[in-house]
Amino acid sequence: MRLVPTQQKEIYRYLLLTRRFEERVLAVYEARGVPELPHLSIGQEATAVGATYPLDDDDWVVPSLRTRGPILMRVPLEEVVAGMYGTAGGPSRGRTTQHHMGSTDRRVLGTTGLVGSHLNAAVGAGLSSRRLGVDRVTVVYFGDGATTRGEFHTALNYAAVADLPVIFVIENNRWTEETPIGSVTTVDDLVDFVGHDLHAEIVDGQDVEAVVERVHEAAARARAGEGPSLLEAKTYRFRPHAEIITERRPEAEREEWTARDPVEGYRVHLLDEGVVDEAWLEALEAELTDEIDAAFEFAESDHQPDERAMYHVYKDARVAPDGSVVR
Amino acid sequence: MSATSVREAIRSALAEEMERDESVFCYGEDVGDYGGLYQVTAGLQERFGRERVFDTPLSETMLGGSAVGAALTGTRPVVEIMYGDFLTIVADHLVNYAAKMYFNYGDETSVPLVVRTAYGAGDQLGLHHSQMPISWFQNVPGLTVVAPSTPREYKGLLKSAIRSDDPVIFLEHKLHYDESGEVPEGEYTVPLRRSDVKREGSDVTVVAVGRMVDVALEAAEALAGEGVDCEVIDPRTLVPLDAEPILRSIRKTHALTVVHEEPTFGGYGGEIAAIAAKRAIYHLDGPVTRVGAPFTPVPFSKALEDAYLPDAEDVASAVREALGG
Amino acid sequence: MEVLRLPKGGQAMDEGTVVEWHADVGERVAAGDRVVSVETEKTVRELPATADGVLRSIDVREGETVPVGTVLGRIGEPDEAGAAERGESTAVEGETAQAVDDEAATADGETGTDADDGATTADGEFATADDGSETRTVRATPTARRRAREFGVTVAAVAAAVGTVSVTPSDVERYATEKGSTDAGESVLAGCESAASSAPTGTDITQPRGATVLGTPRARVVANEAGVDVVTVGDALGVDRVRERHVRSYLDRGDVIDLFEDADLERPEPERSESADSEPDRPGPARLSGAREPPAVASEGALDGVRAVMFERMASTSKYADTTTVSRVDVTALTSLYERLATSWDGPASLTAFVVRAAALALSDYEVLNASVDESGTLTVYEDVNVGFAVNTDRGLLVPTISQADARTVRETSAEIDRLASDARAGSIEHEDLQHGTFTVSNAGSLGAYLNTPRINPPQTAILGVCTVFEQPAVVDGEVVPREMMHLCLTYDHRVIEGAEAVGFLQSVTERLEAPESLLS
Repeated sequence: MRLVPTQQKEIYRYLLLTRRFEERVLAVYEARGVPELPHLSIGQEATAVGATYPLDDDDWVVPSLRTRGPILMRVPLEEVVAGMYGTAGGPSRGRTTQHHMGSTDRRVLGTTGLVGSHLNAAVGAGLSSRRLGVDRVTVVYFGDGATTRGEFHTALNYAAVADLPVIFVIENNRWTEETPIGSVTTVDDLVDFVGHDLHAEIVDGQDVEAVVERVHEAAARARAGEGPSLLEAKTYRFRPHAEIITERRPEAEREEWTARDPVEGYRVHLLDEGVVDEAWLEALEAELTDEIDAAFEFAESDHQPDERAMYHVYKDARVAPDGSVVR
Repeated sequence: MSATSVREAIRSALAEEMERDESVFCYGEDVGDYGGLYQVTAGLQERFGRERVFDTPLSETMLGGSAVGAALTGTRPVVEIMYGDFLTIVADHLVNYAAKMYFNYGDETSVPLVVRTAYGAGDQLGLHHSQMPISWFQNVPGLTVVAPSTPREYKGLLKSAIRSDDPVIFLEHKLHYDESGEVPEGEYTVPLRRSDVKREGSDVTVVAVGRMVDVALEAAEALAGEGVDCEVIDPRTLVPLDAEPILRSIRKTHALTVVHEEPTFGGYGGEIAAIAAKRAIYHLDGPVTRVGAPFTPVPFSKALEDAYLPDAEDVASAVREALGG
Repeated sequence: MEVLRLPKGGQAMDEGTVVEWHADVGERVAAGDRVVSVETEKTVRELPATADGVLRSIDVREGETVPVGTVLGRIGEPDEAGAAERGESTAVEGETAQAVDDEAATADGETGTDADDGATTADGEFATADDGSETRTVRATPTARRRAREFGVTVAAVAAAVGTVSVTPSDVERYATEKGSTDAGESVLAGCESAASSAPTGTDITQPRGATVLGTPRARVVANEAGVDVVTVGDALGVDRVRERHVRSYLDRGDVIDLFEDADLERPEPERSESADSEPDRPGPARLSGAREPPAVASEGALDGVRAVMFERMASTSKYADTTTVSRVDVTALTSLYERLATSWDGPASLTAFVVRAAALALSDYEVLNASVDESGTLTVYEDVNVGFAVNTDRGLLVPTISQADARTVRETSAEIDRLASDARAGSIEHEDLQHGTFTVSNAGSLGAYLNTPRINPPQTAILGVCTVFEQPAVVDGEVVPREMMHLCLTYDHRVIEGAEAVGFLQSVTERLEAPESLLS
């Protein structure tokens, strides 16, 4: 697919939004703390934004812990920040952090804190598409660590056997929390884990347009009934796994990757192509700053949820705190 | 009304719900072509097609996760986990995912899935194909766990479970499949979360679960001969619990015995006893007695399994103890 | 006859010495008067008379030392069967009471063993103090028994020591304290909480009382409601884990002594122990006897005849949403009209007939009260107004029907009422005459009722009760005059009749009765 300038600008906006947002999260966290422990995706924005951008609004996105981009692309910023603060205006009214948030209208599937447990959920979303007779595609993101779980094997195997419209995107940032992926896998490229019946390829995770293109193709295949795809995006996170963890990765490696900043790289690319100019970029920065400011102001002034927000456990039943049915 | 086996009752519930709602579909290991290990889904694939009733690889992981994902994206999956013992594999998806998504979302999205599974001992299937898994899941807010005891209730409760917007673990006792009973013709459901008085009585409240309902009723007959009139209550939905009928009964009888198949320690009976000890303490005239299995895995050999499982005499003894006799 | 024995005053006390008698033989003493001083272990104690009476004998003289339990003297009435016999019977066979020196001096195993005998009875039962020829039962309040258990003593020992047959808690405490320790044999409380701690009285249903008796929660609730406690029950029945059935069987026994559980009893009247048929535990007039007995049955049998019918009918009316509304009618004009007519008509005149007619006319505007309703909620409103009226007969209440009551004149209705009522009382009323009612009028006023709440005659929807006529002052033209008033009580089925309709109907009847001439047309 050939991206036109409007699209390219959109993509850049999303990349910059994600970057600036996370920078702000880091700043706020360092200055005065944020209730939710940040797991920042700085450095991985191209994979996240790139794989969601080609999708229709009706297509499902199943993010991993670190896939901030798609959430910011589909959910208002205020809600996301309120989710971080655990206040009443958040997506789950304080019941859970925004990391695992779900929103059916915006086609973001809720997830859990268990790495990789959402892969088969994405398979289930594929089953729904088939049952409902719609050509909805599901994109599921996960890190390299998840590929060593049984979930990975069972989900990909079945999706391929059943030709389900699911696109599996590995955000391979080379590190499973504090352990280099190479030391815990038998393969160098994770696509080598899967069999031949599954369309699998490697993509440069820092090149947003490459990611967009791969996923666009994968989605077309999926809608045509040709089954799932596995994309291994080689990428890197510039921050530690979580902000409480001390950086231990080799400096040389970090330098190598931070030189390939996906947001900065795309900015330069668009400037070079003449798609954007400095004025436009400045205006965009200002706009995003305002948006981010407003979101944080909203969340910081938002109130804590009422205790009753907690009693949202059964849809069909009123159940008392002691587990008994309220008639 | 017609005499129907539990197997047929479950099958007809699945068929009726698939007729009624396009978004309902059934899958699992050997359920499609073979008709299910216990032949519960036999004939359904012919009738509804491979898109609605189908077989999967041997992966409970995939079954559990996909059921959650499907339920979150607009359909109502009914997934069969061959043995209740294997729920341990889907525990992550049940406990951390299915049970918690309604809580996780803020827009009334929920997980309308049903996990059907065969549980229970008595068929000499040994350690890993005989367990009663209720205790593993009874403490997980968000789950609904159902264990019927008659064909009529198996059918009616399964229909309600499928229509429920919350995730349900539907427990089927493997020794029940061939049992017959009267099942109404025509459309009906049995409500979830309503305990049922199976036998009215005035001397002791006996709360029994699953196949132990029959055992309790058998004991009640024997005890009637001794002049002890048992009130047998079948919670049917174990979690969340409709406690009122049980408490009402204790206020009448002043005595409580609980019967279940799993080991007594940490078993479902403890919860009932604790509820009674708080909300009916001044009505209790004697110890709360629990009848369950010993704290061992389910043994294989006939003599051992017989010793392991509670029987009517065990229940009668427990009742006598509760009555201080 | 009361005996005065030498009590055991201390653990090591085996004997005592009579120091001084404070009364002479033949002298009258009152209960509680000190009658003799005895010395034990260098302390002198005063022993009181345990009854009113005359000191009949002194069996141990001053200066003599005798073992614990020895009869020191006797108190009784002068005309009682002789102390002589008594004295003989306690002594070694054949010897007389007067030969005290020898007996007393030599008796170490004969007269002095009673305390030990008394001590061997089972806990909770009445202790028996064997006096040789007589058996006397020692009673103790439950608190006293419990205190005895706590102190590790027996009530019999206390009784013997204190010289009583009715042991109170303070007797026990005094005895035990003077005794000095709780080491009398094996403590019944071995392994339990501190025996010496005095258990609280009162009706705390959650705390065990420092004894081995425990009760289930249910038992405690039932006991508490009955004003007893589980320990009392346990002591009385000899059980240490009290359940509800124990409490109930305890209450059924009517063990009246426990009514005085928490009070220190005064010494009760002396036992007339020499009466041949000495029944133990005759409760005295001061006690509530049989307060907890079930009531004696006069007769028992299944309901029959009219009562059975009434039983059925009234049971079914409990499904009605019965509501009663009352109006007060000034019947001064009505009663004077009635009196005039009663004398001028050759047929009977009936006040009830006026009410029937007034009601029948009013029903045409409030037809929902002239209707019947069934289980399924079907309301049948009738064209005909057939008014039943209640008649008391020997065999119960009958309700004959005045058919087409709205079409009959008061005179005709009066005649009907007369005819039907006579037939009803005579037992000759036709079955047809008791059927097809659509509304009922019930005259409880003839029996004197001032207000009542009549029950609807199913399947009708309303009933009008007529109550007694009574005089009441009223102001008419600025003057206080007596007026005749009467209550009309309308019970209606609120499932089908609205309050406004019921009140409206009643108003209509009232207005008609207050303008009685209008009813005659």
